[in-house]
Amino acid sequence: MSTEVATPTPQKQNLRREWTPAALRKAGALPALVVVLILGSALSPFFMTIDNIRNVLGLASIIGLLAVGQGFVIIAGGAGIDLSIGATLALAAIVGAKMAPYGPVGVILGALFTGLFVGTINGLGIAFGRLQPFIITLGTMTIATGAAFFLSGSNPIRLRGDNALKWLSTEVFGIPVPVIVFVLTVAIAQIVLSKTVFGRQIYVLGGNEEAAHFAGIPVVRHRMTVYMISGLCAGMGALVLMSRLQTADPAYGHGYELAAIAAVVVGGAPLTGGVGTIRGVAVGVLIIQFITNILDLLNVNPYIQAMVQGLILIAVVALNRRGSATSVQALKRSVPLICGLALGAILLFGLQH
Amino acid sequence: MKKSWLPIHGSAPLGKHPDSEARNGTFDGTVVALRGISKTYPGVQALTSVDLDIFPGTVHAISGENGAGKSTLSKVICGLEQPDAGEVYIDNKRVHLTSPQDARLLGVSAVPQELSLVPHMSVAENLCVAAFPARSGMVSRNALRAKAQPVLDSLGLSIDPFSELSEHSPGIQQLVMIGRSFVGKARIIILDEPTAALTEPEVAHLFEVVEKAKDAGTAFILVSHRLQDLSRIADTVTVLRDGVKIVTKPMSEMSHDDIVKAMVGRPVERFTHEIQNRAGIDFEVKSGQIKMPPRLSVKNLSSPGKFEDISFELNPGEIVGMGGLLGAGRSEVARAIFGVDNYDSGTVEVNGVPHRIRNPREAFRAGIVMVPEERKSQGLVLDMTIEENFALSQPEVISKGGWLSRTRSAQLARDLIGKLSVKAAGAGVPVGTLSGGNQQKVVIARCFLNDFPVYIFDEPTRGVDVNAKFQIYRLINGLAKGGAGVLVISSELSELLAIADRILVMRDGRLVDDIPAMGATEERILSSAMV
Repeated sequence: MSTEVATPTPQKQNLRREWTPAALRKAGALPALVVVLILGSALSPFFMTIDNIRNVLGLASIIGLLAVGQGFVIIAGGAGIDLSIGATLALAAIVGAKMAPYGPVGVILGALFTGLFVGTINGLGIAFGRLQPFIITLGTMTIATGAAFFLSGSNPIRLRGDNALKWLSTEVFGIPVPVIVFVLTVAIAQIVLSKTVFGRQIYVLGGNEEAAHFAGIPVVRHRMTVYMISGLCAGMGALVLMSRLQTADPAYGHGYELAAIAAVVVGGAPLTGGVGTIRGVAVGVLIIQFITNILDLLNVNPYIQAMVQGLILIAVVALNRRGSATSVQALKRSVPLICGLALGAILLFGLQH
Repeated sequence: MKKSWLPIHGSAPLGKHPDSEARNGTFDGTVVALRGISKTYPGVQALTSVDLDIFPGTVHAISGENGAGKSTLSKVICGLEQPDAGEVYIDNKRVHLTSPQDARLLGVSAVPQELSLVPHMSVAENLCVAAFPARSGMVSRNALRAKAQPVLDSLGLSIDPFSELSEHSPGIQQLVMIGRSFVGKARIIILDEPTAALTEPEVAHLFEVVEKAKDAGTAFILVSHRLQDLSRIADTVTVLRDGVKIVTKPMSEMSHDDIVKAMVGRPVERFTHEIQNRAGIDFEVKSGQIKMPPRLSVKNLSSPGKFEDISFELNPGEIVGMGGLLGAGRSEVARAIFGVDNYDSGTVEVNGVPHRIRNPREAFRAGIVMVPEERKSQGLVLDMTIEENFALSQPEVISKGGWLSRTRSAQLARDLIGKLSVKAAGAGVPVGTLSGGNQQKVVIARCFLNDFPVYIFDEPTRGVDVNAKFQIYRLINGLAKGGAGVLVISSELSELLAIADRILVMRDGRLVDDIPAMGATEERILSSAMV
């Protein structure tokens, strides 16, 4: 009896859902990205030029790679967060540069292995040791930073000019290779999460870890794996950044982990886990990068830029909040917050003058 | 004013204006009166024009299948949900409850089914959590004691008010939940399945407390699936079906069968051994015509502090019940066999082959499936769809080489929805939106992904309505008929007697009895469970 009921309804539901806030949320941050692009072209004539777009995408690809890994960690839930990726990127770059005598393969393997290694350490602590992700990754972040400075003698290491890694900073059909690497990574990650058993089990893990355990899903192994993926992504980020600048600097990646976390959240994956897509994460990265770019083009004071970015992050999270049925409701609940921020702004400008 | 239905009040219905009833004082003596309450959720008409009168000093039971509208009705009374239409009167005054706080100020207090307590705070603090007694912001121990002690006395609990709540049994914790309403001087207390997690003596104690408060004039609204509860404590019973009130009558005029009939709208066939019809396989195995090792053989299983020296067998085609009081260690044994928890010593054999099972994945591989006790926290991912939840435990059924197959998944969902008669708008609906019984069926679906030799059910019908209950019994029975060994853990003795071939009884972590179901009675089981 219920089978007949079951078949026709899903389509109907989709039709009905089209214009509800839920549908907007499902579309994710894409409409926001469109708004940002329109705003950008309206505000600056230079915005929609090929050079500018290429430049933004190049920058976005590095944070983007980190955000993909962070996306796996956050979607897998269990208070998952990886604070170590920025520092891991720096360490991976230094190790890669140290391996330069063995040629580009040495550099690549060195960087990727370093990322994977730090990710494995995180996974061992979190999945097997059942320690809190925030604390463990805070620890490995500090360790990796120390190790990067220690290994490099706190000096940037220049790669030799003939380094074959250069091809990573070239272009194919006018598209920078880092962008291609980023897009491919996003595509693979998206497919893994949506089409494979492993991917779907990551969502189960994030949605209800206990149920995952009872269903015989290898919870520990999967949790371990997402941190390894995150570390590996940091290693890839290191390669892209190094090839771009032809240098490995132990100060690389400072604050990148927070930018990546912000991108994941803006892209529609709440820190509670179980929800979100890598496609959304990519859109989140682009939104943040394009906003930065617009502010740059408008010659906005960098410190004000930082404040604007913080405000945007808060605004996105306030609007995306799950459980608020309509945008009006979300807005209503945010009134006290808006008042508080406005008061802060008044005080700030009062003090400045 | 008399003609208030004239076009001035365009939306008012023709005929007698509902408010006029209040002015006439038709429901004098009630403490709560509902008139024409309707509530619609997206896609569901939860309540349709329900009237209800609650009188002080009575226990008014609200009964119905899952999804009949019981919890929506109690949510309306305690301010958690606002009705789309209709009026709520408290003490003959029209009220608009927009939040539980509103309701609490008017003396309405709800005790939810799930304990919402703070385990690591003291009993006294848990009692006073809604309003800590404070002087200029400082909570004093003496004030806490002064507030908590009389309530503990009236609950008949002689425990230290400053002991940590988590030290106490679920029964005591349940009483503390009710005690909160006493602290708030509630006159109307809604009890949602208050006995679901309690043992028999705890239930008796709870009912004594309720009787005492009732005599002092408190009105209780009791939402319960347990018909025994109703006949023991309720004065009046209202039965809902599909959001419509079917009947309100004094409990003395309603037999269990009357209530069940009103709930399901037709007489329900009793589930007895006759319709189980597993005689054939029983005979062949028992008479030794077929020599088969037991499906599951547990020997000397021990886990210090939880259970000790547990040995039993599940034969092919056999349903073995496991009874005992809460905390006797039944779930712990099941969890150990299934690999959720570790055990210290002992052996587990499936079809005569020994296995050392360290996690549920290995249990599935060995051929053991367990339907866990808590469907929401242990069985399902509530935000995911029915289809996605079906194959949680056996993704290989809908995938190949790690890749999911949409078509296979959809096919499986169609099959299982039909086989288990899950009532839902479609396979793409989030499982959290289903009623309890249908959620439980989705969990049970994992038993049908493959032919397994051993099935373990922990409280398979908790919080499930009568109709779904029988459907689940039939499914369990079908598994046994197929030759598997089935272990059913249940706190409901009538359930064990209805479906099991024999009943194991646990007490304080030990197996103390093994009773053939044919000769067993509830008294017999209880006496070995308690002593």
